Amino acid sequence: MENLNLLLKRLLDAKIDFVLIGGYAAVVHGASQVTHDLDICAVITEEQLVKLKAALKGLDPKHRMNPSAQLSLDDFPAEGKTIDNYYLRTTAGVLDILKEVSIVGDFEKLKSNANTVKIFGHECKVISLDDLITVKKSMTRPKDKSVLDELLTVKQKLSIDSESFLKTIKANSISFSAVKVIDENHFESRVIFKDSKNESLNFEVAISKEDLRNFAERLKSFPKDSHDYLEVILKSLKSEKIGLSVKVVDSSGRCEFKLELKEVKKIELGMKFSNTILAEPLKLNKLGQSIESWLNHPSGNFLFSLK
Amino acid sequence: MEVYIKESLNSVLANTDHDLIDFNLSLSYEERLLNHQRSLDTINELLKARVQIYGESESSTQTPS
Repeated sequence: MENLNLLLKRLLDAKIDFVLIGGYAAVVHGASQVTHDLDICAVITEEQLVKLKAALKGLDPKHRMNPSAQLSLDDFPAEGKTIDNYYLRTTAGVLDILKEVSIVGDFEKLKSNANTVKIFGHECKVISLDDLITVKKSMTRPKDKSVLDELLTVKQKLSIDSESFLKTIKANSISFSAVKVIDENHFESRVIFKDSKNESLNFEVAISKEDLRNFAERLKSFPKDSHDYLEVILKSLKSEKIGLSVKVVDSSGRCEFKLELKEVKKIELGMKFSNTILAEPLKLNKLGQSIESWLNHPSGNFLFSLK
Repeated sequence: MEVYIKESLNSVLANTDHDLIDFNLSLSYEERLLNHQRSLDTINELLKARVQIYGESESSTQTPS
């Protein structure tokens, strides 16, 4: 039985360096089309081939372009040899591995543009929405056209409606807490927005300490009685061409969002703010000081709440 | 040109199931893949049922690309 998630998980577990492309990448971006194969872009070096064979162990991987030969991946390519592209059939489904996506570029180009998303406990590189749209535009099959329409709709929906966002932010209050260090340069955190009924929205934050330090410096430069902090952040980020992305992570009633600061040219918001929540304004200056004190805290961990 | 692009986009938006896209965007990335697998399982069950009723056909044995 096809199990593309099992295939993907095996590739991720094996730490193969790849970018997810094709229909499955479209699903990650929000398309609803069903695909029967897993497409990835990767340069299969000897080292990667060893990982690939290990990853597909027990799934009977065979080259499918010459069905009469039924060559096993274990037998071809021979040890010490590699080939550019792999078109495999496994018991978990079809796996195509391409060394490049010609309309976009080689693997490195694709990878540099790719999004990193958390899937099955791993960081997974996924072809960017714009690159995938470019790919689908170059294809002529009806199913590609259909996926393209969905991806264009996703793109339109992810474009920021900054006015409605800011209105919502202004009308509400916020508490902020940060708790978990990933490594010495990165941490994960939660930003918790509470509404008048004391129900909360959790924002999962992942940013580098360097970004955060710069961010804290900037916040500290604001006047003590400045506006709601997110509003000003958005404005300042816009002018600095640093983006703020907020995406829905959990739909189980308590909405959860991923928020990250990164160098991008626009702000993307993948959620609806209607009837959501958020509370009193934060003082930018105070927030900057708190972030800085956390960054300088010897344990690296901190917890604070501002209202 | 700009007008043409806007019209094209409007046409695309009109032809897409927005509720479905909204639902997908409300899911985590992993949930989107799990949801897709459920759809795939359903389709495969239907294909299996078709084979049981009508027998193997070329289209049912082909691997979609």
